[in-house]
Amino acid sequence: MALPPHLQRRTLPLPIPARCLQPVREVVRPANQLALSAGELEEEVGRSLTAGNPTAPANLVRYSFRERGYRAEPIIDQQLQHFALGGCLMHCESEEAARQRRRESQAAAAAARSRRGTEQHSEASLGPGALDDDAATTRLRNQFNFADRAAQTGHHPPRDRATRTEPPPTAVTAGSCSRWEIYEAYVQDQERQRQTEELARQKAQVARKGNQQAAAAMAQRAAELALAPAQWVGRAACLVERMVQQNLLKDVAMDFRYWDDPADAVAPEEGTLLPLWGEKGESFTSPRVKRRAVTALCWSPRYFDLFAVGYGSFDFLNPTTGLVCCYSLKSPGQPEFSFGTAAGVMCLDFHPDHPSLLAVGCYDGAVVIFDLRAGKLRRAGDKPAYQSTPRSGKHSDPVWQVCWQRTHSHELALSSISTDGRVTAWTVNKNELSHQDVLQLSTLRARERLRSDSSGGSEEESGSVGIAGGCCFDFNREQEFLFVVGSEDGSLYKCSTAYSSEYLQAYQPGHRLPVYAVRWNGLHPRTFLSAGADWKVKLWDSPVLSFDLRAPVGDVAWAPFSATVFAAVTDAGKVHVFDLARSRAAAACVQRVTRKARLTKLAFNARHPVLLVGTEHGGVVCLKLSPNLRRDFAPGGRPAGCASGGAGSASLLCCVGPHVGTASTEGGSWAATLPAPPAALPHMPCRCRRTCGAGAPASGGGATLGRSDSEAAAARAAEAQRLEAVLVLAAKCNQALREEDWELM
Amino acid sequence: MAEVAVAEEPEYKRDMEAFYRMAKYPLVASSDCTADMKTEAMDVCISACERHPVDLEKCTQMIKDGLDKRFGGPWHVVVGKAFAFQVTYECKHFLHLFVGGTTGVLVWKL
Repeated sequence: MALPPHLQRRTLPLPIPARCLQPVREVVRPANQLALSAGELEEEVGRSLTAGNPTAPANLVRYSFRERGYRAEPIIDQQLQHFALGGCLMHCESEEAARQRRRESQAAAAAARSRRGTEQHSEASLGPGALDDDAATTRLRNQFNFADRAAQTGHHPPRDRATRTEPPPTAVTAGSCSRWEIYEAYVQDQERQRQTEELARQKAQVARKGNQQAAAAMAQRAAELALAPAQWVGRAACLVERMVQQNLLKDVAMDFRYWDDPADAVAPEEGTLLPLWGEKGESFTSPRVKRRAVTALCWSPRYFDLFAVGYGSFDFLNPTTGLVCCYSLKSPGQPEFSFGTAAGVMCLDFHPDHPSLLAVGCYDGAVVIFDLRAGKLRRAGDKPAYQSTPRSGKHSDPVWQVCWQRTHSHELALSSISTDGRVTAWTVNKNELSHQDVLQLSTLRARERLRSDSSGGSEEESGSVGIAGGCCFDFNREQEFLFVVGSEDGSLYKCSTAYSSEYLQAYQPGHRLPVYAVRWNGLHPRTFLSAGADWKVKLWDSPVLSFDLRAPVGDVAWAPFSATVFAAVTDAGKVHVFDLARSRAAAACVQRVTRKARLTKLAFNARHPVLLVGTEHGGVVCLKLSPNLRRDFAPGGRPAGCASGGAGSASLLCCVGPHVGTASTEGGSWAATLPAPPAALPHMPCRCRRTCGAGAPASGGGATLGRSDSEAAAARAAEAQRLEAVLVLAAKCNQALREEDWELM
Repeated sequence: MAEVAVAEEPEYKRDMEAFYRMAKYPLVASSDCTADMKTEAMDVCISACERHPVDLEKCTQMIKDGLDKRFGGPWHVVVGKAFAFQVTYECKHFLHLFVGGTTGVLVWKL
């Protein structure tokens, strides 16, 4: 291979003379060098080098089996290796070197990662740490690098439990068996058999004979056993019910004791009535009442909280059977006693001295006397103690009023009035009621005609013509023979038990419609009130005061604590309370008690400032008088209801004190105490309105009990004086009026 | 008088044969079993005594087998014409009866 000329170098002679230190250029050309022109030198000559194996055959043929002949090999291998030596080095930029570097770096990274993983694992065992996912997936598994988790439950040691049953009970016996023992046993057995046969025969005979008697005795014993606990349980149940009622109606009881209307201080001329019990019909009722009308009300003269209610009907087109219920303010839910009657009850009266005796007048004209002791607590004792029969002078029309008489002897007497025109006095004998007609009522006109006829000589028609049906009567407090009769035709007569044929006085002008009630004043002996269906209440004395209530008046009653206070109930459902000392014209209180029902009856309590009102639907409402309506009671100024000192007044709330009984009459058969109410409630002896006038302290209330008799008498006198003053004033007014104006009243 | 008294005397008191005729039935001398158990046990005893009136050993074996089968538990049986005993027994499992006026059977369980 020849180098191009410009690449060729000439070696210089080694010793270089000092004189020729300058470079010498000398061109040396080989001899056989072609001499070329400049043009030829400039010419580019392309030349390629090929590596050829000089020993390689140039034309190589091989046999081709396919073509069945020799073929020339197209490619002949020219390579020839003269020398080869393997080494451990490699070029740094070669691919193998790059591969090796890559491998090494991966190994280093893996080692570092595993080291970090173990550290983190140890941290994780101390606290919650997050291991990243790469490390978790590529963690190396070898004998030094793994973690395992396991839990082992506690191991309970085995226990033994054993019970031991009781061995069956055993017993020891001893005996013997021999021929004579066997023999005697059989003989005894034979004897026994014979005896039992005999007994059975006797029993059969007895049973055949006395079958019925034995059965009756058995039934009687069973009945006794059944009854004995019933009484006992009934008493306990009664007691518990009373407790429950007092707990339930505690606020009502508090009102009864302590309520005073604050409005009274502002308006001294007006008063109000507070309904206590029975306003919504939940109290003082019984399932037996069944929408009957209240036809009679009467407080017990001895027990201030006990009163009797008579049920019947004032609608005479559909009469009902009657019912008498005795309620207590302490147990307003259920009647303490109840009695049924065949006909509707029209009137009631408690005996003033024997408070267990209750006289009842019925619609069919019967006069019935019940003994409350017979109707033991809650057991409906419908059997009356005495009853008038048609043979023994029973009335032929409804009995409108019954009234016990105070007698000086020990016998019990009562009077009754009926629309058949008779006023009858009844005497209680040992087994029956005996009657005596006190008066045969007849109209004035008939009486005059009778008088003229008797002078003329004919007496035939006297009995049948001109009968005046009596509706009500009332006996005078001081003169017990004196009584006032209000009749069906509206006239009023003053009568005496001493004269059966004559009226002492006929009051003119009377009412124009039937008179429903007459009441003597308890403190002023000359005056009485009458109320009638002609909307009027009249006060009778030498002057006559008349009050128009704008509705038929059902009942009227004087307040027991004052001579000038009275109350009336009307068919419009209103209660009117008048205080004559304040105003003769206007009522001190007009209050509607019911919305629709007519009010039928009214009764003042003798000891407490409450009054009872009965409705035609069988409801009984207890109303408390506000201080203005009862202030007149004590001239000293203390209201009647307030406990003065607390010693004398038995409260509904604080219950102390025994029952007070009076001496019995008729050999002890009329012990005056009631069957003791279960809770041993306090019953101080109190005065009924009838005893008030007849000598006992009049203003029956807590205040009088604390005073001496003289003080009480003085208070009574003051009350009477007050009424007297009113009447005098009224008389003057009437004088000023014309005579014909009376007709307007 | 004497004749009357003799006439009133029952026959079995005079004549032993008559007594045996009368005393055909089993008689319980003492027992504290329940009524059902008593009747059943009596049946077992009576049938065994009737089957083996002479061989008392077989009789007792039969009674014991019968009672064990019916009521379970170890029963003990004594059959004989004259014996005395004092035994401890499980309550309600004791029966002493006379069979046929001659034999006493005592069974108890413990």
